[in-house]
Amino acid sequence: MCFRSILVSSALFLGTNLSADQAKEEFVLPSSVLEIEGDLAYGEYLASDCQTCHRSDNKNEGIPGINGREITEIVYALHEYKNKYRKNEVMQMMAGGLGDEEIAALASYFASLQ
Amino acid sequence: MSINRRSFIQTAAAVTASLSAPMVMANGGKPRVVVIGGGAGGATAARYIAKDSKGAIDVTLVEPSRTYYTCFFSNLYLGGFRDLGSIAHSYGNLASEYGINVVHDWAVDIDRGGKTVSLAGGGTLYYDRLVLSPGIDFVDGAVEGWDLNAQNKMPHAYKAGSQTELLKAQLASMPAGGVFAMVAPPNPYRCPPGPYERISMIAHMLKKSNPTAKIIVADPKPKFSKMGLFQEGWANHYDGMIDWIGSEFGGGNVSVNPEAMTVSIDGEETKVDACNVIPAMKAGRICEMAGITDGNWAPVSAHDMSSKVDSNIHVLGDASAQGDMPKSGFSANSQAKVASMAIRGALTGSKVFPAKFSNTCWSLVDTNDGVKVGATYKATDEKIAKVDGFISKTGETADVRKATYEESLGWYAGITADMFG
Ligand SMILES: Cc1cc2nc3c(=O)[nH]c(=O)nc-3n(C[C@H](O)[C@H](O)[C@H](O)COP(=O)(O)OP(=O)(O)OC[C@H]3O[C@@H](n4cnc5c(N)ncnc54)[C@H](O)[C@@H]3O)c2cc1C
Repeated sequence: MCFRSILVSSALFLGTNLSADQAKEEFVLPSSVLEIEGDLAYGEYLASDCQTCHRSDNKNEGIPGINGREITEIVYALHEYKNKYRKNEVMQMMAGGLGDEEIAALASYFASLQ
Repeated sequence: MSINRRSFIQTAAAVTASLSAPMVMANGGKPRVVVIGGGAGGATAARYIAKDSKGAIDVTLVEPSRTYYTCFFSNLYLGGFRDLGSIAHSYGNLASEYGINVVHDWAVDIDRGGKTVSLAGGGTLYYDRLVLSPGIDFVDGAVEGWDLNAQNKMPHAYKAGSQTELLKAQLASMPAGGVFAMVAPPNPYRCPPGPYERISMIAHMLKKSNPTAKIIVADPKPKFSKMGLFQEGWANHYDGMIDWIGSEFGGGNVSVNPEAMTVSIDGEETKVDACNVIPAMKAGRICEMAGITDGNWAPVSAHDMSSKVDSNIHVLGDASAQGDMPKSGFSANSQAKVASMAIRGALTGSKVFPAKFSNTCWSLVDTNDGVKVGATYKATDEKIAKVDGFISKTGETADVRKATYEESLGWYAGITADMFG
């Protein structure tokens, strides 16, 4: 479903061990995932769980506001957390339970907010 | 449309009372929801029902206190990381921004047949759906020698506010090298890591002001939430200060004497200078009065948090017996959203989606040393069932721990905005 290609980092050329941090992977989602149209009503319900931390007034007091971001940016971010490509255990867990449809719904809803 | 989406819409249709126009009530007016308790579950439910129904539902919130002090971060107040004002919240926004009828009173009776709530002040409220989120009360006689009359000498500080202030004052006036004891509660109770975060915060405070003081914890459990993480932190930051006595060592065989200020653990009596007794807990008493409890708690359906005894009543948060979720503010807030969606669906025909829940509990061990545990959950016919989870690891770097603490500040700001608008 998700394709990853490893962009070879300089560490590899130097012959040292490639740690997870040093590896620069490119995370690519297929267009079939990016093209799913999100259901706004479903997104609104699912988003309520996110808004415990990501404030609906978009203020950042330690956790960023995510209202009004681009749909693609949110879809990528959630798939990256889900696939543990991005760090943060809370987000990996929250995104881990979401299907493609749910991610699309959330992205449409947050993108629609100010 | 994919199979996934079709299947959730079908589930939705199945559990929604009506997909057409809003229900017209017997009284000809708007449907009415009464929420009892303006805490993590109740304030969230009132706000979400009012906000998302856009005026189609009349929402009344019954809460005796004009100021809600969050239990969450009350330990940080004990540790000196927050002041009391920063954990105090009022209900003004819920009334002015969301049109919620906020009634500062106690609910003293519920007539399930007539669907009414009686208030201590004499009024009666009518409901089509009732939400109960009254939090906890203490089990009578749970700790020998302790009852509510003793809470001034040996505070529980497990409902935040004056009790927390009192405990902090008592800790501050301990003599040099004095002894503080905590009597920890048996499972299940509000906030599984709460007593141990409290021990950490008290140790932090005493280390500064009274470094030769001693801390004793009498615990009826053999192990506790985030035990490895707390024990690592106590050894790193407060070495030799904390003596945790678990059930194997008689930690559950406890009695207290508030007059003499003594604590007896497994027959051995100790004179203490301050003592925090956290007794066994049960659902807020109004649940018992409504006749919806089984034992100490009120069992609910995981799909919509409705009482297993009366489907017109939804029980949220600490008071509910729901399955795998810990009794936390985060859980209560998450459950409130599921119940709000189901209530709106039943009363106005709005779409209903399958329930999803989540929880994360952050704890502070010392300055910039935050740890966390979290999980996601789904509704099954039997209970709220855990799907996936994580916990901080021992030996994490200082940067990771600091980021975890900073994240907890964001969470606190977020959840209180989510509750009170
Ligand atoms: C020390 C401590 C630390 C904690 N830390 C965390 C944390 O870091 N994270 C976290 O998620 N959770 C934490 N918790 C747990 C959290 O506070 C509770 O789980 C949460 O408040 C439960 O929400 P609730 O709605 O069930 O009850 P509450 O928030 O207690 O609200 C209940 C409300 O109902 C009102 N009420 C009761 N009876 C009646 C009645 N008859 N009529 C009208 N009103 C009534 C009460 O006045 C109260 O305001 C902590 C708890 C403690 C004690």
